[in-house]
Amino acid sequence: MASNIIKGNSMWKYTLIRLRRNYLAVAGFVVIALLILVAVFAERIAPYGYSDQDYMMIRKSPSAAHWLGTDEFGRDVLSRLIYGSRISLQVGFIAVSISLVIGGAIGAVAGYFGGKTDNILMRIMDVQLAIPTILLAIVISSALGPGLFNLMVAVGITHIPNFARLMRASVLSVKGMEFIEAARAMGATHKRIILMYIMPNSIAPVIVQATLSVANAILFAATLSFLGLGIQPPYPEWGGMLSAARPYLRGNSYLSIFPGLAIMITIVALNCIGDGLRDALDPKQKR
Amino acid sequence: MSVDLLEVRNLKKYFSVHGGSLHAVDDVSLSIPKGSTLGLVGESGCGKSTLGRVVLGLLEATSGEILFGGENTLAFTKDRLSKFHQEAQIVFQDPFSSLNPRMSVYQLIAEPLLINRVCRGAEVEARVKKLMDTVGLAERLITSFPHELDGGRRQRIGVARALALNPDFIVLDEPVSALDVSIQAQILNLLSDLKKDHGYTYLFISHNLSVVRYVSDEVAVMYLGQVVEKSDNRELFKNPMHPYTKALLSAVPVIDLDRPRNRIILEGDVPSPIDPPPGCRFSPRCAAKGDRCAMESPKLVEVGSGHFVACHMAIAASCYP
Amino acid sequence: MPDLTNNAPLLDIRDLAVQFNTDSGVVHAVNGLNLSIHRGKSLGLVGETGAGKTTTALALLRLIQSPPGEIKSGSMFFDGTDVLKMTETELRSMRGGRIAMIFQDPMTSLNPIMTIEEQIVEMISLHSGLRGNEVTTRAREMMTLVGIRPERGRDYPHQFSGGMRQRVGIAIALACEPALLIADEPTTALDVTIQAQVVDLIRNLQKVVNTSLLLITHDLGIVAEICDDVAIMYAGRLVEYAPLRPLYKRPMHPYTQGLFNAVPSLDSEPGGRLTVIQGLMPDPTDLPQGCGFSPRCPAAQDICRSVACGMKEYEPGHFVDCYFPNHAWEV
Repeated sequence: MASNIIKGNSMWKYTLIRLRRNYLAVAGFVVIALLILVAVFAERIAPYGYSDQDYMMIRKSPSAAHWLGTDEFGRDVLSRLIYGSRISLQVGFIAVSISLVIGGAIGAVAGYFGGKTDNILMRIMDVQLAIPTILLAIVISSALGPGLFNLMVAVGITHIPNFARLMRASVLSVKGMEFIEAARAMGATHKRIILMYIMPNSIAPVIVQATLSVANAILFAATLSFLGLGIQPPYPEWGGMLSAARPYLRGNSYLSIFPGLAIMITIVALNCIGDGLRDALDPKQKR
Repeated sequence: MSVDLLEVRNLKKYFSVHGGSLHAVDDVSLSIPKGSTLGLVGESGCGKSTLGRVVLGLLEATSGEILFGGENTLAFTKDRLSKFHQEAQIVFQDPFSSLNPRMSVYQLIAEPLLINRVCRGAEVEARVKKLMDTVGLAERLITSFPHELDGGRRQRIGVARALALNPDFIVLDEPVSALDVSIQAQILNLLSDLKKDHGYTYLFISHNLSVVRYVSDEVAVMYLGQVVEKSDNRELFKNPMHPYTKALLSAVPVIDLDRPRNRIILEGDVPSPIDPPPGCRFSPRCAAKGDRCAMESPKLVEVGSGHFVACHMAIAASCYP
Repeated sequence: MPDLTNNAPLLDIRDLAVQFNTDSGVVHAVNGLNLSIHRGKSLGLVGETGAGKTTTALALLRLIQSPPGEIKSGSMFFDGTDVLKMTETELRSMRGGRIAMIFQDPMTSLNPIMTIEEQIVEMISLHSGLRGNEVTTRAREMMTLVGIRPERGRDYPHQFSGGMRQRVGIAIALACEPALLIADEPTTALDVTIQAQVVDLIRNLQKVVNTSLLLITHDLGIVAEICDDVAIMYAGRLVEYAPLRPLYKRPMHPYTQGLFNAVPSLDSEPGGRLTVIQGLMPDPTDLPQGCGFSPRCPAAQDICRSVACGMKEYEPGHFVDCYFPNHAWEV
């Protein structure tokens, strides 16, 4: 009978059904899934090691042996891109998850309880916003030291206020709705109201923002790596490859084109997913 | 004498706002006998909805007493309060914003049962289906979402949700104001059938006098946070005493072209409820005001059997002992 | 062709059809609507949510968003000119000038950052030949006319109450002496006592300014106060059309009768039952065959479900779209 349909978490179920009908979003998911597979199986796929140097082949254009050419140390660009996807995707997703979870929680609590709680939390966020993000990230990563995990933490922390503000605004608009009062009249606890009523109705813009922020985080991590605070060479990372290719922009433009393309494809795919999610999370869309 | 299920004594609810304190409910005393309906009439901002919410404990009272079945609800412990939520329920005005758009009809109606752990598993489903039947929702709609339904059906969900916990007392906060006339009639009939079958006690809040006339046993008229007149339904419509009640009654648009109309058009607007001046709150708009009205606030006084009015002039003119 | 003498109606809508092409199908918002208003007269267009009342008014002003909206067929003669053939410039000068509109929500229809005098002045200078001081003088006259003290002209909309804002809306609408005033649910957002003030004002001003009035509402009580003629709309069609008194005294279409029965009255017996119209409005993307009301109609016969009746004049001036009018409702 209907039992299964009515008892499952229908919000996510119908979101998925609607998402499946959006071809662009599906394409985005496929691209991201492929990238994740590439990252996981990097050792098997990559034709060369990421640090294998060949001094006979310095800055050679794409050829049959090196499909995407070689860099200034004679390393295979394709292999480095494949290994680099590990770092870039991890940084992108994990850093954003950190800011999403912490920022979202702060915003939700501030918006829902209001008053003093709201004031204290949001002023802290304001203070953080007032510090230039790059400066803050430099301070955090130099305090924690270089390394992948620390890089993700630094990028994650610097983006918390954006999510907190967005979540708070979204919660505030939902909080005034009568169905929240209806839930209170039924005797629902704060926890239940936040989880079952506020969250599902206010999460949509935040999730969309998150998919768009992944791209931002990848580029931000590249900036930190460039400053010597992120991933240390020779381990490759897309943003780092891009900045290393800068001196050769004129003569060996493929060195910057390919990492740029990799970043671009990821971002476009994520944006497609973000757009699709925004539409799919709207319950008023047809099932 | 019937027993009062709800008794409100000298209830006050002030909100502190920028520029002073807003007297939303100011010294209101009311009682509703078990199984009857009190119609609470007034215009927007008169405090009728605030009163309904304070009575249910959704808003904290500033002072006063609320007795529910003889117990003071303002002194309830947390456990007693959650039980009270099962005994006293509310139906909201707007069937569009009062239902969580992410929940299906099933989830919406099951929610009060789950929150209060009344039952579980297959019993929930059975109860939901029974409730849907009670309020006249077809069972096939059980997986629908609110936005797929029209206003009337949505309001039926709101009613089913309020009935789920078998309450004794239901606050109906403008339950038909957002609905079209033909749908409004369906919901009004439903509410009156439910009352007949289950003996619910209603506090029916509305700005629409014709609707109140139809559903109420007793009627109380509110103006700027105070009850200005209270009486048996027929008596109030036949013999209104407070000048505001008279003006309100004369302003109701009617479809009977031959009904005699002695329209009293009130001048001006309702004054601000922020720190109101002493004296009768209606006096600035009142055509019949005397010297005393601006100085001294009138008390609600019985001027006929069960007919209470708060107006110096009406009280002086009556010869009720 | 409409003749241009003064006997010709000011507004003559013929066979108007408006549809919206949406993802879920074609919404037939207005179908084959015929309507006319004579000079100085007021017509009440009554119907429930989704009946197509507001769409009709927007079509008349050519304000239907396209896409998804589309005026499929028909003609609309306003003062002898077909609105559907007007150029954009002609339309702009007609809107606000010859045809003015009052909206439901006086809070959102006024510009919050302009004083109300500025807003009235703007309207007058856009649509009349007046210049300089004359404009201000005229604006002050309008404020006095609707009962706002001219010195309040320097105030902003948020400083006014709902009823006063609606007066501002009326002042703006009447400032250019329009030939036709469209009022779309002008009192729905207002309290009963304020509603009475506004109804009174509209009724009096309509005679003073001598404008025609198209009052769009769901409230039969307001129509009884203001209008000369009444048109009842259901699912995009007119179902009954007559002068006020015959229609209110002898409603003939089963839908109109149902509507009248469903309104609770001040004289009703407390605790009684209201007669309800069973069922729901049809889905506008999937209108029933024949008469639109037939699925809910207690008097419907086979013919109603295959071919709609069309307007028939059952008594002078009283038109009903029904084969079997005067069917008695079971109470």
